Amino acid sequence: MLSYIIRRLLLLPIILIGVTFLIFSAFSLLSPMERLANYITNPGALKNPQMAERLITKYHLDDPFPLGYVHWIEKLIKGDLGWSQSANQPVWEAISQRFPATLELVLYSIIPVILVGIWLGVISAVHHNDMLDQTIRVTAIIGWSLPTFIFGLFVLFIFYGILGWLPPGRLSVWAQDIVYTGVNFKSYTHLVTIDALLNGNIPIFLDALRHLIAPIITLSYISWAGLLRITRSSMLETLRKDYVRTARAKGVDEHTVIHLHAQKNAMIPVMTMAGMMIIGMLGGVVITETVFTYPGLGFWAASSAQQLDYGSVISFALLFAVAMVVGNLIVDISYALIDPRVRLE
Amino acid sequence: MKRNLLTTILILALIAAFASFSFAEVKNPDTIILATIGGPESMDPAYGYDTASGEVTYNIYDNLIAYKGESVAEFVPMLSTEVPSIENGLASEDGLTYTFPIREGVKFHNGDILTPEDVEYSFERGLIFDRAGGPTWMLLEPLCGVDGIEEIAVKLTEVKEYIDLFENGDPKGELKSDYKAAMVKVYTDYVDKAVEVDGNKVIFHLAQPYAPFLSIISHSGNWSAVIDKKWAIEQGAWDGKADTWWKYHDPVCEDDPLFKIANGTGPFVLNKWVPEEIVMLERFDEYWQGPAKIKNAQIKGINEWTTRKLMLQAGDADIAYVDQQYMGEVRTMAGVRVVENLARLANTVAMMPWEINAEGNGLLGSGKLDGEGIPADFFNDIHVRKGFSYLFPYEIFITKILEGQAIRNPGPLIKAEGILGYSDDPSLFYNFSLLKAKEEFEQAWDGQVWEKGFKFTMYYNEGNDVRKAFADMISTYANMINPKFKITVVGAQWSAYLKLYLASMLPMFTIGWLADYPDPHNFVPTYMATYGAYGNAFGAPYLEFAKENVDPLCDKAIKSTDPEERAGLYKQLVKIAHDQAISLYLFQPIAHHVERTWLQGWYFNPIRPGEDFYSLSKGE
Repeated sequence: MLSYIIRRLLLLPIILIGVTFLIFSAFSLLSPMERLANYITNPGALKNPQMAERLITKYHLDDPFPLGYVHWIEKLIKGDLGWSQSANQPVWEAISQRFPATLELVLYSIIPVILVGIWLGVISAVHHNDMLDQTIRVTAIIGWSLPTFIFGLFVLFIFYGILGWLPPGRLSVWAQDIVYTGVNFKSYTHLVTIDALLNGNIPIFLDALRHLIAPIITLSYISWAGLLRITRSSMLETLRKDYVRTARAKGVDEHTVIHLHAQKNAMIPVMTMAGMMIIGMLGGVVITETVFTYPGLGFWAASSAQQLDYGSVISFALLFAVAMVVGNLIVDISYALIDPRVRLE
Repeated sequence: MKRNLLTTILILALIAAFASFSFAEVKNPDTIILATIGGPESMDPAYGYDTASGEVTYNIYDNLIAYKGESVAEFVPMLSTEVPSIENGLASEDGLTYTFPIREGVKFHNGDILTPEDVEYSFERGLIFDRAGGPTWMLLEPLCGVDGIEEIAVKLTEVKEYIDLFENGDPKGELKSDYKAAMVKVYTDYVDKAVEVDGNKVIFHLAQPYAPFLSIISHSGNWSAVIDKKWAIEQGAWDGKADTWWKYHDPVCEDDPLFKIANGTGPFVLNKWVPEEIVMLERFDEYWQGPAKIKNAQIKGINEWTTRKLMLQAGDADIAYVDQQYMGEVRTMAGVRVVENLARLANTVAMMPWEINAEGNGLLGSGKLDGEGIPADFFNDIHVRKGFSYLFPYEIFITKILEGQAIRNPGPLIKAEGILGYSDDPSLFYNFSLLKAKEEFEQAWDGQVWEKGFKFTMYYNEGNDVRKAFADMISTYANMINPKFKITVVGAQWSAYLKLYLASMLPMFTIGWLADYPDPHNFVPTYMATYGAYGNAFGAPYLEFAKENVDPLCDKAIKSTDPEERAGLYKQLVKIAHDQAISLYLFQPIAHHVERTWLQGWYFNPIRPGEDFYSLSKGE
């Protein structure tokens, strides 16, 4: 297994070069004048056409593609990801400032995805075709069908607009004063809920949690709905297997049959999909974060793409690619651990 | 059963805890929250040229003088103890010298005391900083008589281009030793002489009389904010020396040490800036005018309208940016006050370049007047321009598309206090008339336009529904008076639109201007002079015309110190704009303001870049 892991990790740089090369190529299709749009939002700021040329030279927008790419790689090796025009700060700083917020959102979203998805999937399969199964399936189909931004706005409207419980953003004003200014609050992990607990500050923990619930519901709904469907299918298939029938015939109680014999085996494909879905959530945060004004990577990535801020887009892609490769590797390993028949060669 | 009960109690406790946060009389009584779109570009007063940056600078930094309340024509002293005037002897009669006695005992946020040298440094740093696409041209024009500091360097060194002064043509590299003496003279002969300290006074020596000078340096302009010299140098900004200035000229963001930090004398201290997310300001208790009524102010970047609306509704935002199309949703919102009919110092025009770049330009169709395209100089014929001027239903557009939230202007001038030369004279307006449009088009190009027709593509930047509506309407009416008149309307991404604009390839297009300062000089030359930001986009035939007929009047108007003479000159320029049908002057937008009713003290000043948190407080 170790050699498999090493081989997969060795592939990482090649994948990253491929991803960055592709994005860089795509941006190089734009003319320098088009790329200048990232720097100029008001043509009135350009006093004359020569100024546009000056800016193109200043920001190296006319560098030939190979030269530009090589320069970017050189800087990357030195740990310099460049400047994010859309975030108005160095790319690395933009990532490190926003990544913890996204990580916190995704980590908490995993809980309902796994627990609710699998739990409802099993219930649905056990109550195959009865009222409960139908209800759960309809709920899942709604989850699959609803665009995230519609569902997000719906959640925001109900839980904030009407009930006033779950506000947007990451923290309330009073909590921001404490957390952002660092007075009597130390950030260890930059995950506010964890830091609040480490600081023994329960009101901030509750406040951060309160801000997380609505984006978690939005982000996880689609994923758990998907996982539910897979769990249900897998469970139905497993429940029809001979060994399950044998267990029942032997008089094993239904709870043990379902949860010990069937569910464990049904989980093998589910685990694979769950891993992929969790990684995919990184992409899903874009809309959720925008709707809830949640200051994470997703919102920044979207605005970077709109502004043709290739330095930021390429760095986000780099991060996403690393997460994909590492995430897949973890899925493969866990697959082998769950199913002893699988051997990673 | 026990477990279920425990779970229920826990859920109810959480709901109660959450709900307890939600219902208060005045939410966040110590903090004013502005929910808006986007965010500031920079905290450096010399860098920012966007209103979002200006808003932050306005609240952190002070200027020498400020506008008096809602007025854009009257000034009050700020860091200067007096407003220079000929009457008080602080402004010379020839309009070339302005003297500012500096207020004593004013503290910067870090505790440093304001000195006249800080004022001198702030302006000189701005002049040498001169970022490409930045705001410094407004100071360079009156103080050094140029648009950019590089112009002086090129003139003194006699090189072809500024980059030629540096090894390998890299302005961030080493200066060629041959040019060092001349480059030092750029500072000593121009910059240093423009702003001088005399005891407790700072004296500005202008290169030419410049009527709007006081407007340019007043509090609405971040480019004239006063920074702490000692602090700035400690942070790595320009060291104030003559033989280093070029190293600090036109930096990229990452090389500007003041890009994300601030230290002013203003009523608020920059507490935290997370770009595109939040700006947190905290009251400066030692502010020379007395501490602000409110303890904190926050500017939050909330791009999603529904979120902003719900925040306003819930009281989590005290002021919210609301697009015109959503105003109906807030007018009747409980606890919300709406102030409307606020004339903005801005306008939008449709330009018709007298010569379009035809090289590889598919927007011109065949490139000939054969019914399948237009020639590059299509709009060079005055009858074409007049035809289009009559073809557009201005009033209907304002009523239907802009919901009445705009006014018409006769030319590039806008209607506002201090805008000399503005006139409501009906003869200066083109009114919608298909008949007159037909008459003009029949005369255009010796009748060929009417006979053969034309075809071209009109671009608008996607997402701008107002510009799209304009394009659709003009296309429809053109086709109505003659089916051979075909204008295809196409939406383009901003990047593609900008590329075509910069390459002078757009046949007819809309563009807007937001005032930097309230003076006709900020509008008329912008749209009409050869050196104006948009004037030079009309192409060679227009530049030739403008050089002879527009530039001399603009130059005379800016150099005149007599308001009546200036007003007369701008009236002449507006008449030229009308007679030549240079552009379609579409509208001057009317703004609105939306706030919670518990907010007190808001007032409107059209040139102010955003909110003045110092004037605001909270409480029913």
